[in-house]
Amino acid sequence: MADTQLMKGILEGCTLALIAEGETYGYQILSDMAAHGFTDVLEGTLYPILTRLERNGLIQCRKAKSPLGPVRKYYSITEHGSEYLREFRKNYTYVTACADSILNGKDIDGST
Amino acid sequence: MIIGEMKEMLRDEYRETFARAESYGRISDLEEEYLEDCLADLGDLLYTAQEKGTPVEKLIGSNPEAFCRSYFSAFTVKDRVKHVCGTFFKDTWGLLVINLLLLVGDGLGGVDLWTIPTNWYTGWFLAFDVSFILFYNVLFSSVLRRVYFRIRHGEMIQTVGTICLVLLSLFLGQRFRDVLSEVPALLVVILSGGYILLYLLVVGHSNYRRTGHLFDPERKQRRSAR
Repeated sequence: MADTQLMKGILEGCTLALIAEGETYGYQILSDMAAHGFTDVLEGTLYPILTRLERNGLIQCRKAKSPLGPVRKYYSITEHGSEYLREFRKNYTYVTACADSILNGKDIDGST
Repeated sequence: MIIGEMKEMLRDEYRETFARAESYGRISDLEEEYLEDCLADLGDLLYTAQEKGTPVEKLIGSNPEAFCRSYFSAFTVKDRVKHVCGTFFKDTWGLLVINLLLLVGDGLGGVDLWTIPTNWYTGWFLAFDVSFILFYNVLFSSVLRRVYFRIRHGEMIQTVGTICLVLLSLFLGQRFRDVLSEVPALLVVILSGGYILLYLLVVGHSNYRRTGHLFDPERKQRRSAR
């Protein structure tokens, strides 16, 4: 599992990005994370992230009966969340470019 | 869907995981609505995994203790303070009503309101309530959830511990009852009424900022769904 501190900053943004693709639910988010390589992300990590995102008004949820039976929370991104995600993407691109420059000897524009 | 129904739908390790998480949540003395919400989500996740054949370990990892701690970590210290304040809010109504009745009863006889003492119930109740909330919430619950996965019979320890704390709080209530019964009833009315008003203002303001309504509309829906 990648460094915990490193993951902490990224997972919120990644969760928000997955929700921005369309209304989704907990199990699906975990599956999508795993499909993108985050195989160690567990429900214990995801649920607090979803709670924080909802409290901060970045996502909203509605409850509806799932096709399998139990009531399920479906998450969707809010306008505030979309703005936050745009900002996150910008910052992430900048930070990874700077880090790449230091760690891998690349210039900020990506050239070696 | 209530928690019991959810448990019935789960099998084997899925049900065991759900039951352990529920016990941990109850030991942690979380706000009931928050706990129900958490467990409903967990139940849906486990049920989906059960139907799709996904192993429980893929969802919660190999360490149930770490999972529970992390899963319920969204209930922050701020939430716990709100929960305790909410408990005091419900309990304070009783104090307000009883002391108002005392004032009305004795005040009608032309007695100076400041000389009317509160009664034994107020003194006993204050001592009992404060000590039980502090002992249980601040001490017992926070210690027990740290060791819950390392001890046997955690639920039994919780039951026995709760009974002991109730008895201790009853004893303290008796001990301090007479001292606190000298407090003027009018002061109790002012303080309890003031607390109720302040609590309603803070909660109303918080609800309005979040939902645009003074009262949480979701809370009403949850209550009618029960």
